[in-house]
Amino acid sequence: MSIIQKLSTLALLLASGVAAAAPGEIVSVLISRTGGTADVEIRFACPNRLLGHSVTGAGTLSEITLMRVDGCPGSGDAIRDATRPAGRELAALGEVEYTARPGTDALLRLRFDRPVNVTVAQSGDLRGLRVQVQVVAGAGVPAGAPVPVVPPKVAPPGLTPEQVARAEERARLAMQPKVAAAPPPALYTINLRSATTPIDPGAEAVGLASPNQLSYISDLQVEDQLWHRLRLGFFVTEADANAALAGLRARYPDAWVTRASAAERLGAGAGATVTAKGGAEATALAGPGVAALTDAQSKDLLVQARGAIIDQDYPRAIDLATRLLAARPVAEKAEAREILGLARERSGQAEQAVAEYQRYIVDYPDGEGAERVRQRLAALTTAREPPKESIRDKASQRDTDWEVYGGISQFYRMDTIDFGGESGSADQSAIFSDAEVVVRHTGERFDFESRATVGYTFDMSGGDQSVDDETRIYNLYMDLNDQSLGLSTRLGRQTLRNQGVLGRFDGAIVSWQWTPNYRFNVLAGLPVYNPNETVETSRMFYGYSVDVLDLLDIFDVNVFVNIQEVDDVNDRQAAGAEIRYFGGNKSLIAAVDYDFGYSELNSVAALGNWTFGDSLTVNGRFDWRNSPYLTTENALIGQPASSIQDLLLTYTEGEIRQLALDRSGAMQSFALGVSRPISERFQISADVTASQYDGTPDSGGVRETPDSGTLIYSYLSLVGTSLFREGDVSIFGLRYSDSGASTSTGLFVDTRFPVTQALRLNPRVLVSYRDITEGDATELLVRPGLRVLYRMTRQFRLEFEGGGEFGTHDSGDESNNSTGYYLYMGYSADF
Amino acid sequence: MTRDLASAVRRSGAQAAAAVVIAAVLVASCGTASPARRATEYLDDSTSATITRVDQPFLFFSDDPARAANARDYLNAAPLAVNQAGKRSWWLWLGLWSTIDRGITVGDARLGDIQGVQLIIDGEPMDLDMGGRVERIPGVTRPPYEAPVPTARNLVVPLTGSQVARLSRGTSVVLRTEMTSGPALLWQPWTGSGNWTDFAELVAAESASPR
Repeated sequence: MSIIQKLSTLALLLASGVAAAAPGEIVSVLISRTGGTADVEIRFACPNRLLGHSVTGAGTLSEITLMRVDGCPGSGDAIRDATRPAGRELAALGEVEYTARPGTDALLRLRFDRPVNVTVAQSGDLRGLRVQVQVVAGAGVPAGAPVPVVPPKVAPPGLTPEQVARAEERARLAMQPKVAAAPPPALYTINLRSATTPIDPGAEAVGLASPNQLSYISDLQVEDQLWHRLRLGFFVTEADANAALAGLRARYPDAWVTRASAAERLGAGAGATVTAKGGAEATALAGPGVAALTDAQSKDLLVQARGAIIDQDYPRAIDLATRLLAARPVAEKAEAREILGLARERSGQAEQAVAEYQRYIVDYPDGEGAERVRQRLAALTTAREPPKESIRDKASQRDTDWEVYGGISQFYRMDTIDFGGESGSADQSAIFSDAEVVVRHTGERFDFESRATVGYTFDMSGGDQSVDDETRIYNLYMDLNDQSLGLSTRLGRQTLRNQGVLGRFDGAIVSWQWTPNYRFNVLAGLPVYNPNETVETSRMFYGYSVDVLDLLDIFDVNVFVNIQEVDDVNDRQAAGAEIRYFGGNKSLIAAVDYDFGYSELNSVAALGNWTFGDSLTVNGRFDWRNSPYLTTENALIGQPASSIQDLLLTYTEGEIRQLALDRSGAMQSFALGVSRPISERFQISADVTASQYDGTPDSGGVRETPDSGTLIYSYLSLVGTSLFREGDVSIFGLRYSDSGASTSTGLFVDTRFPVTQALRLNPRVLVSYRDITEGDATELLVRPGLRVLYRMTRQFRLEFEGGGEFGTHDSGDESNNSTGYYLYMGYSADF
Repeated sequence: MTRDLASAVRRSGAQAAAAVVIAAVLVASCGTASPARRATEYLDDSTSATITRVDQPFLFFSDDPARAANARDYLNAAPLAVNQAGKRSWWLWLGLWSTIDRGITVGDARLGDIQGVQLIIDGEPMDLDMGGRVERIPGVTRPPYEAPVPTARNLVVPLTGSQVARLSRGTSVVLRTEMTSGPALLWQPWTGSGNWTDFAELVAAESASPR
């Protein structure tokens, strides 16, 4: 049977969903399922490095520790993002939640409706996670889920196109080439001709320079002879300069390219006269607009320059102000000089800005903006001076007003999937509301911060599928920091993913910064496995740890001991360490967690990343761990009891600990990924992951799970930017996986198309084909979708997404079709 | 004749400036008569870079008649092109040495560190990028040139492709060095030192460098 024939007769078992999450970090969640195994593919807006993973809450809560890397925008702020993706019933998944503290710590939390086994792998570019979910035998299957017809092996993960967000950033830069970031230094200039008699650039240079270039005179004293050189600059690369020179060769046959000194560039850009090293003198006399301007032209240029500053289009502001300064005489020169200084300051060109401001004060000491310019100059020069030593001075600078800020979002989600045949359907209709408020104050001695992050779900679906409305409390804590003693404390509901803590808890941490490189921490609390829980007192932990920075000038190290109890039984007695190394172009993170109560290694993981030159990035990962993380509470998996206390009515503590060991199977995974740009517009990336899950024994009435065998996943993707118009991003992806039970091939096209600065369209489609060994079954899935983002203001954003899922599953005599639709829309606002 | 002109250059005033121009013109005529310096290529085994060099460095000299009548300061200069996996770069190597016995005045500022270099090509100065000076040329394991005396001071500065092209068209080349302290020195080509044409042509043929 040809593939086309197969495709025409397939029936659907697999159902899936593409869900754009609430605005923020989670870009999409893609869910598919074969038999008892579901794959959840999560894509982030920024790179998030996978550090660790654990399953708690008797197997219903998976918490994935992440570290935000590569200077994500907003990394200084706390972020919370949550979604209940379409098709989540297939993975018994209730919610996906992402939270990040100011800094780099982040946590991804997957809340399930019933106990599951979860394994997590990272895609090659650090912007995606692949989560494999296996519903624990004996724990039932989700209502409305399709009838399993294949062994509960692995399904191929969904597609995570490599470098999506990175490409988006590039595209965003292309869309906004004027904003903020300083352009690469333009170092090269063309020496057009040299003469011992003065050159009049106004007469000769007209028409030479493009808007981004400058024609100017550079003088050089050789013995008693002063040479005047007509030059055209500046160019980022020698090749750029050569290309420009090629067009001028007929006019200037002896022209040559050279690197301009910083003094020359500064002099030319500022229209100033500077003395270059070695006694040579460079005098910049003219820019492209050297011809005299009319009053109207001058005023128009000045208005444009002001507008460019307001638009943060600093390169344009520099260009316009330079033209004004070069065209003499104009009455607007003073303001043009100030604008030039301001644009250079905000472009990160501090030295040039200082030169402009100094020139302003010399030329216009009593000018309208003189006082303002003096203040800016003082701020710049002060910023470059070493800090004052006086504690009193520092303290008085630290004292700030109270700050209050936060955000709110509301999203409506509706999705419905009809599996056809006897599989039934799954529907959802709900409004998700989330809010966060932060109060902050920095005092002379004490710093205070308080954060509250809460959510509320209003379920509108009704019927059997309905879940109760619920209120969630993600964070509710206060920080108090005593600068003088080096003591800090955080008290309340909070999340921690290191020091042996497995996630959210109600409790306290007290830290003492002994020296800049050593910190001691003591902590205690009550673990919180679901944010909708009130204070849960059946579990508690305590522990202590030491942070050492720059150990041997190479590593950051954390060593910890953590003891956890549940219903007065030892739940976890862990000791471990985490080592981090960050070099210029490479990084390595390794962690180990050992349970000395069970005398069992809980996890060993290492993750490395190496960038070669400016292009090739290679990353590798090794991960061995118990899945779920070994805790005594794992004994509840598959049991009718809801607590260890209940279980103690049936089993002894020793038997319970053995059950916990039986439910905590080992998992090992190796991954290797590479990515590199292949042209200015395209980047290619690929990664391969091999993983294996040990089987778990039949015990305590819970059936055994077999060894998974070796599972292979591979991905190849091509990301193009500005293919159709400036600023767009297109992803073409191909995935292939072989799980032994099935092979799967998928094609994925995803385009982010900016219509305007505020409006972006994101059409996409996935076509997936799977060949299932057992029963000679095949599956075909087509999943189109459209997402629309509209940013009304900096603080307010609207989002809409809709799509469908159409599939067939053919198992010989039987064929099923499935149809699904989803809708997601809402707003988010910051204050 | 050339040496006399070089001495004249160091006189102050307009006479010296005029002398520079005259010297350049006269040197140009000498250079025109000189044979081109043969250029060759070789492969750096360690870096797989193709190195283009001249067989022998060009030789320049500078008189110091106040100290010696028959001894001089010398400056070897030689261009170098490196093509490493398609990435091309051009360099100028300089080796500064002397046959003047300065006795206890070793360290004479006259031969102090070079802080600026200009090539005066057909009378027109071309200042080189001292900010790009290197101790070791990327892609070159062993420098292909060395001065005849081990005490020579070596200096390597980058050139651009168009500077090499301009050199190749020059009929005369004079060097001028600005020293950390002391007066700037003019270095005249030793008779028969040759021109730079072969090197530039070979580089151009090999790399299609922009002209």
